[in-house]
Amino acid sequence: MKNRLKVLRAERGWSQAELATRLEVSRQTVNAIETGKYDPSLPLAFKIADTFEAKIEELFEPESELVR
Amino acid sequence: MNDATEDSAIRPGFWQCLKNSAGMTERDRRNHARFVRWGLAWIAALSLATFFLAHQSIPGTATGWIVASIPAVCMAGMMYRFIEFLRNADELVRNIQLESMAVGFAAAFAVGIGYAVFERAGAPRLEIIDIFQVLVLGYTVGTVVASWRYR
Repeated sequence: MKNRLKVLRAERGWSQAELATRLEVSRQTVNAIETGKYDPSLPLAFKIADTFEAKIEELFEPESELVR
Repeated sequence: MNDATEDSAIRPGFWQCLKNSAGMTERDRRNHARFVRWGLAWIAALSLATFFLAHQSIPGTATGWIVASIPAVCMAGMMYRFIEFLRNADELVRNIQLESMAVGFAAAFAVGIGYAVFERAGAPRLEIIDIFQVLVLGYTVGTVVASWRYR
């Protein structure tokens, strides 16, 4: 899963620690999500979207488009 | 913001992975410390109970049963604290723990079942504590590998 977390975080000038505090997770979790090593749970994805005041689909997208 | 250094700066090293503390929040560390304390109490109680039951003439008496039940109480406390830790853990930490436990159980199951065939061929009987050691070893290796993968 690709995401725009790092870009949006940079736009707001937040550090990973600051975002982690806002999301109530560890810095390693934020780092793992940003680097694409870990896909967050649905509740956390909603929380991230809420924090950035964006929709989930604006933050996350699948690696490849699903065959419809 | 120093993004270039930030990502690598928080990467846990090998010892942090081995210590099972990679990615833990303060709450996780606190809950994990409680679990570890109960674990140490269990080891101490088990050692003392084993010593007393082997060296004192109390097996079969009420005192013997009380002494033997103390490690079980500590084990119940340890299990409660681990479940508490897991339920309240950061979701990445929980993921690492579940992967580690899966590796531990798979290793213990594989060795337990696999060795049973060797026992039928005449190999010495394997005690349940030996299987437990394999489980702990598998869990530890799983923790290091999973923590390393998500670092």
